[in-house]
Amino acid sequence: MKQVYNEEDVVRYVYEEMDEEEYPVFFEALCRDADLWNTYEQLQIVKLGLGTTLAEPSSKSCQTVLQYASQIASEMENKPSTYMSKGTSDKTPIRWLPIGIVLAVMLMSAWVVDQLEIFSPLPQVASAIAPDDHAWMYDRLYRMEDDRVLPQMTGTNAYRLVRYSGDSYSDTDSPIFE
Amino acid sequence: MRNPYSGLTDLELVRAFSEGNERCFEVLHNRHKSRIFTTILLIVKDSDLAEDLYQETLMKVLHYIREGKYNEEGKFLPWVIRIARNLAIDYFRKDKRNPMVHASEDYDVFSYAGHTTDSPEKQIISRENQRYIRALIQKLPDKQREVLIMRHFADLSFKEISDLTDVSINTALGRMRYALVNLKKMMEPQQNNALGEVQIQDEYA
Repeated sequence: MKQVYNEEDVVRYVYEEMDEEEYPVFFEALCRDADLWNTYEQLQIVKLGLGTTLAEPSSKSCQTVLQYASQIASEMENKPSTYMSKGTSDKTPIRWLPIGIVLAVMLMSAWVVDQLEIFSPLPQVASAIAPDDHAWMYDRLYRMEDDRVLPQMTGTNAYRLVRYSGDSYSDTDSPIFE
Repeated sequence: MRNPYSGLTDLELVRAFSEGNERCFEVLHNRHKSRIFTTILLIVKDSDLAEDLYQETLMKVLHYIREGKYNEEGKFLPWVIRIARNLAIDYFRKDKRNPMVHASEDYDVFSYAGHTTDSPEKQIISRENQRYIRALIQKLPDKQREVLIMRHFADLSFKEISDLTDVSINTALGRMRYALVNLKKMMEPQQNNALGEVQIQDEYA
């Protein structure tokens, strides 16, 4: 199917804005269509008549602009670039590193403390309780932060809950569990 | 001595300048100053005003580069032309000047545009022809003149012009065609009516 060209396409041709493959096809169309060819001739004549001469700004204007550019360049040389780039920044988030290290150390310490049970006298006592029997009570009381309630054996298979405060035990009003 | 940065693209020059290399901006400036200034001059039709707006445009460009506001996706020259055009529009809005006011006819900034090896007579004829053509350009409707200036003198593509003026490419092409057709009519004496006026064809007629 032959491409149909119009006068706007002639403008594109005159100003060399066609794709490489399109030029020979369009030229063929020009040769076949007298009206299109007349339009091309007219537009080409005017384009040549317009010429390519350009005006120049005065040396004073140029000097003013370049002086300002020099000043801007000095400012930009002395500070980090704020140039917008589509690529990722190559600046490492160094300022976040110390905070990250501290957090990591804290988490590690907490894990170590938990694993070593340094502050917890509970395991050897807790093992005396059958977890299925009173696990809910033990869990609730055990998780008190400062004053810890622990089971204290009162007999072979009996215990009551006492409050552990670092180096001493105090009574609670718990019953004896058997 | 050839500037070592003259082979860099506009984008590379802007990047280097943003790192503090002022010679790169010098290359960029020399590369585009004629097109930028010619565009401004043909829009405002006043050489003194064109000089002021030219400086203001480039200073704004430098400011934007410093602030990191140059968008890499857009080409440098269309971006600068957009800034220049907006400044010209703002100027006319604020000042409410009639854009048809002409500078002194004795002063022609194109008279010092470049050098030529042609004979003095040929240079004079050429200069007069250019002056005549530019006078005709000023008679075009604003929208046609704008497209013509940006395509022929600023060397922007029709796609860039359509983006800048917020119209379709076909509209930009149509305006260009009418601009060239109207110029052709103005150049031909037999096209004039009894009053010596040419019937300018508007794309909306």
